Amino acid sequence: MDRYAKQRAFGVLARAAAGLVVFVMVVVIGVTIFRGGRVLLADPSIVISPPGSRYELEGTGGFFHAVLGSAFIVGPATVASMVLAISTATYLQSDYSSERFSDAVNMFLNVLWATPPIVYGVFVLTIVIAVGARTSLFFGIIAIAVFQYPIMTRYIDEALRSAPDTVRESTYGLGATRFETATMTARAALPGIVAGIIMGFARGIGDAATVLFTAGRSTNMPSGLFEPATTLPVLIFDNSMSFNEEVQAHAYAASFVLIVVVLGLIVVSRLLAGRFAQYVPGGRHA
Amino acid sequence: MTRQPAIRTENLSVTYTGNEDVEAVTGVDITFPENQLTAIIGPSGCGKSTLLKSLNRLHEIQPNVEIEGDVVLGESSIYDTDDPAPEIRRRIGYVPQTPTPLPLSIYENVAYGVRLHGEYESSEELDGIVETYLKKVNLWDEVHDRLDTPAASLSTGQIQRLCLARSLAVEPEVLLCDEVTSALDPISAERVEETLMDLKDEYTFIMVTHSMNQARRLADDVVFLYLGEVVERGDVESFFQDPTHERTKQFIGGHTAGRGTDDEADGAEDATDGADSDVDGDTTRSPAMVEK
Amino acid sequence: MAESTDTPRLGRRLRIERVSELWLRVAGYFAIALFVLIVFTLVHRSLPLLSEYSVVQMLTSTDWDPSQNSFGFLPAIVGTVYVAVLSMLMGTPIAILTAIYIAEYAEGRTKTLVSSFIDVLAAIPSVIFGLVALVVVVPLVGDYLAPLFGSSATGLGILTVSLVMAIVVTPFMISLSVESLEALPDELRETSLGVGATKWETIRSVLLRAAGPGIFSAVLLGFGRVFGATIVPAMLIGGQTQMPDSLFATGQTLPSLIVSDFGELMSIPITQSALIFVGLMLVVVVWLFNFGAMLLQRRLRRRWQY
Repeated sequence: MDRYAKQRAFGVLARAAAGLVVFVMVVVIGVTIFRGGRVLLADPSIVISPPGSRYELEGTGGFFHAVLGSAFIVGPATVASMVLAISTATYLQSDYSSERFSDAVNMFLNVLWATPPIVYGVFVLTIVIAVGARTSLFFGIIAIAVFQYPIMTRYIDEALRSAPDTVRESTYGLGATRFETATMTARAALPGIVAGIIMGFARGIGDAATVLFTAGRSTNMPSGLFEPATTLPVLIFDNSMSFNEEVQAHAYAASFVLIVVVLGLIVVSRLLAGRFAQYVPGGRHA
Repeated sequence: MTRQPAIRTENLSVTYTGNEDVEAVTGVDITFPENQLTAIIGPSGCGKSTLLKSLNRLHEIQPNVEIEGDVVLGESSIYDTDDPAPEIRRRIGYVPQTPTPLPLSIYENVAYGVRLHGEYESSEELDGIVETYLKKVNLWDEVHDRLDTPAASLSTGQIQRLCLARSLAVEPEVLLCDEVTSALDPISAERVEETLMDLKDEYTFIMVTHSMNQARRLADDVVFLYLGEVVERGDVESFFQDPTHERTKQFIGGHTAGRGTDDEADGAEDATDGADSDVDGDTTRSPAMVEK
Repeated sequence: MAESTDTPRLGRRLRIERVSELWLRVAGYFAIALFVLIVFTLVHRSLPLLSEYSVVQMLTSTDWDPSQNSFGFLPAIVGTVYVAVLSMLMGTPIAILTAIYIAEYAEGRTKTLVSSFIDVLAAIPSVIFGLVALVVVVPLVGDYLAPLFGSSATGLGILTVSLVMAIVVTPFMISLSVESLEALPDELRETSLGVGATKWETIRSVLLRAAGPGIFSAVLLGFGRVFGATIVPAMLIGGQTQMPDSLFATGQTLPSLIVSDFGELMSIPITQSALIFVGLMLVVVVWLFNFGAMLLQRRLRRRWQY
């Protein structure tokens, strides 16, 4: 094969690979939307209906308990995680800590980010057992918060680092304290910070492995902070392996909801980044 | 012409520590008179910015910088004092080279420092302050109808004037300007210079500039800094017409020709490569001179 | 000029400064504390098991029967390794090729579109991949692929999991590889093309070599991802803790072992300890991969000074 034929062949190969990846994505999203949509079209109320008494076996009622469970776990977890993440990331900037320290901490954060979610589940579970408690909403929140924390912190750290130094200089030059300047720097880096928080939220919403071990499993509506609860991903996981058609159908419907939420988050993240960019010194970046 | 010192240095030295110690500013004794504009000139990398930043302790936000000597504002030292740095910087403001809007609206930019230090009693008073200072920098007419829009939407020249308004709104005793027109196009630069000319009798300005012509146009006094040491200082006329030191003569000679639009060619002094080989050579020989 | 300071206000600002510094410092050390806490907890809770049984024996025994206090991890280990190796074999070439496509071939709208698709794919929760796989991949493997090879498999098993994991991990590797490629200076491409090399030759000899460490570390990280994957194997591997005898066989991975045998077994301290030990093993392996990847990145940065 001559050089140019090789060149063309390779080009075809590269395009084919990309095409395959796109094709797979289309299939995954397509099947979910199609099957889930079909179920929801037939009976949209299952999203907001609580599960019936024989939910596990026959899929009576709906899966609102999982919707609420997701909201009640990932919402507070994101808030807790966000506060901690912004704080850590702020401390890692040059005003507060040395380069060596921030490099070291970032290294730990990278490792924590790469930790399999199941490990976080097991970790929190051992705490649950050690304190003699039960798996519940509360521990689900803690587990998700811990899981999201490294992801958000790294994103926010990058965002703060990329804020222009002159903003710091100008703010200090007006007689601001270190904390006041950090606040202003965060404002300048807001698009990146928001993107990081949304990324964390999206990963939290989609997680099943961590919540599986910590929030318990429940086929009832979430009844309290220290009662078991289930989330959409766990519901999908449990229901998908059932032999009952109705139960399985719920899995598809829940997948539909989940995908819509995740895609929605991505879109919102892009839009928000664009809107905040007008305040950032330097104007709009992509 | 009042020549009371607003701020002065006493044997000031600034050293960058790190892998090796680099002394950026050595044994500097200058007095900066009140309500005058003093320009600090010198070749690149000779410590001008470092000196400027040390006048309000701004270098402290970087690690690895050491100070010896002192800076005295009025009667009291700014280093050997109980006053916290933010308070010092309220009294001695700093405007950086790059026009930098804070990520706020135009109104909020000007109001920021004022709010920070609580120097107002009511929102009407704040409105008045914002208007006053925007007028002082000749921005009011251009922006009064869009005060709530993001400051980042202004042109670079407008932003730099906004930065001046922002810094002045805090009513500092001294304002440090770090090459504030270097990043601007000529027309914007001219407008900023106009503003400075209008204001220079009201405030004490200390301005770092790399343009001799700008120094000639704006300054009341000039300080020539070379390799971190003060070579010469004096009022602007005698400085440029009859400099005392040889080095000053070389520096001025090499930089007067061919710069700016309103320039008198002082005898074909295209000597930047010729007679100034000393100056240039020395300049390039100072790789360790860290300006910022 | 205003000289008087509003002292109460300044005092308050300084107090805020002090308190905030304390809090930020705590937050700064939190990441390290978390890491240490996780390690400590996992090790501490594995000790009951480790003090009673020999590690070597457990790692090489194929008999997993917690009710009989028999903790042979080998089937799960083998299953995990099979899945990881297979998915990486399938996923890595696709990932690298796609990354090259995005970085070197795609332009303008197409490029943004494909990149966005990759981002979307990376954000889809793995449980959804599992669900779709149940409906698409399992029948494919069980009804078509397996009979082709003379196997009477159900479609759940090592191969299925590997296929799906390849899909799950690929977008992640693509993003990282694209980053590595795009970080290379244009001069590299210009120099190579300038001496008359074709695009393919440029890519093969110059770019891949230059971005090599970055891409390799992406692969290492991908490996770590597959190793730690829980949901997809739990749904698709068939849940039989036995040594797989073929690609189509059902089996177990370490994470899916925890999932399937957790539950009532967690109330028995020794089994608890066993499952936590599995978690510890997982985390150690994944962290090792990550440190390796980080070292590589550091070397890459030093060599090319990005």
